[in-house]
Amino acid sequence: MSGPEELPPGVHPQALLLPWFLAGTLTEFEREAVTAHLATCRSCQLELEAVQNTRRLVREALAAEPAARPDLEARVMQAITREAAAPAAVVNPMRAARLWRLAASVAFATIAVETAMIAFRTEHPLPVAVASRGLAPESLRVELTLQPAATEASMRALFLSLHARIVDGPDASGRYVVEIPSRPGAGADALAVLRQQGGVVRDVRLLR
Amino acid sequence: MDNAVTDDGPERELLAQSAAGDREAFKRLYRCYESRIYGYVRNIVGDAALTDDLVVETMTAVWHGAPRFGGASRVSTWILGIARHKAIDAVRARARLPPLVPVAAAGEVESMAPGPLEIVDGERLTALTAQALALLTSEHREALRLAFFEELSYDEIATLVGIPPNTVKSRVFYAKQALKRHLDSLARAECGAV
Repeated sequence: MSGPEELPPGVHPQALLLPWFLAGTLTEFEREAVTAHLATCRSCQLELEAVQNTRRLVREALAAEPAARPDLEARVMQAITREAAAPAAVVNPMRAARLWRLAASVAFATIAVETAMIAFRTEHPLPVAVASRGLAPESLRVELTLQPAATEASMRALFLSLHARIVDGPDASGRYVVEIPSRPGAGADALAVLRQQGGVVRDVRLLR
Repeated sequence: MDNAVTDDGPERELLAQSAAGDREAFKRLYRCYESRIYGYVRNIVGDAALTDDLVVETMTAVWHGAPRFGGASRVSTWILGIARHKAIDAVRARARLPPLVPVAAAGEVESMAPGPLEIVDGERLTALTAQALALLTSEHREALRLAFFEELSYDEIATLVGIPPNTVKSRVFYAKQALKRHLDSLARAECGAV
């Protein structure tokens, strides 16, 4: 139960600041206001004396309180050493139990939702165009065989036009594996371009 | 209120070193706070053995939380906040909240006339003050400790305890009055005065 905020009659607002005036923790503005008020208010001067007295008595009494046991420091240091050795041990068992229950609830809810989605999609399959849920490949790979007469310059020009890079080959049959950056429709475009380069490319196929 | 926030450089340095895993720095930080945390927690839970456990828990939390100390508050406010949280949780768990004694005559203005306290010697007065503090409500006792012993600003106390700054000011005011009433009563009994 907190004390009332209303001041009894005759108590000035500045009187409430006296504990912190004495401690030196008021703002400069507050300190100057209290100082100016004390210069002319006898009742607050008496209150200041009372606060000074209380402050001294409280500080002396609390300083004389029973001290902690001498072995408490060792217990503290042992505790943090144990924590470092086995951090899992600090988990509050009650909190851990609550977290496990929460995790289980989320897992069951997820399974329920996924089951419902599967059942729904069985009845209402997605259009073919979006049937695949796999990640789009970052690039296409094609295997191509160059014409025996193809020059290095023509090959380089072709690859540069497709932003392609050789990732393997040539093997014993002269086949290269080339990687081409992927974009919508890039597979068909790339094959079309390569097949149009009959003077350079003898054979090409798209690798999966 | 920022006049006291940065006034704890050495403690911040120890906390930063502790955050980096320096156990010797952490030990020095602990020694700065042992008596303060112990006294603060014991005032809340009232049991020495439980206080020991809570001090260990508090400092373990300080060790783990040091890397996340943002620096917006003083180190003392942060550490005492952890201690307070753990102490109150422990009290709730044991369902043994200290009884709340109604704030008596909160509207009265205390007389400034000399009382029986003036005839009690210093050492005995310290003991009587401790008894008088024990007679206060836990909220008043905490308010006096934080304002006069820990010397937190009223904004820091407000943040720590979770009450408005104006409530802090009035609570400390009434706590001081209540302490004086108890002290006067105890001193009268001590001296046999009526």
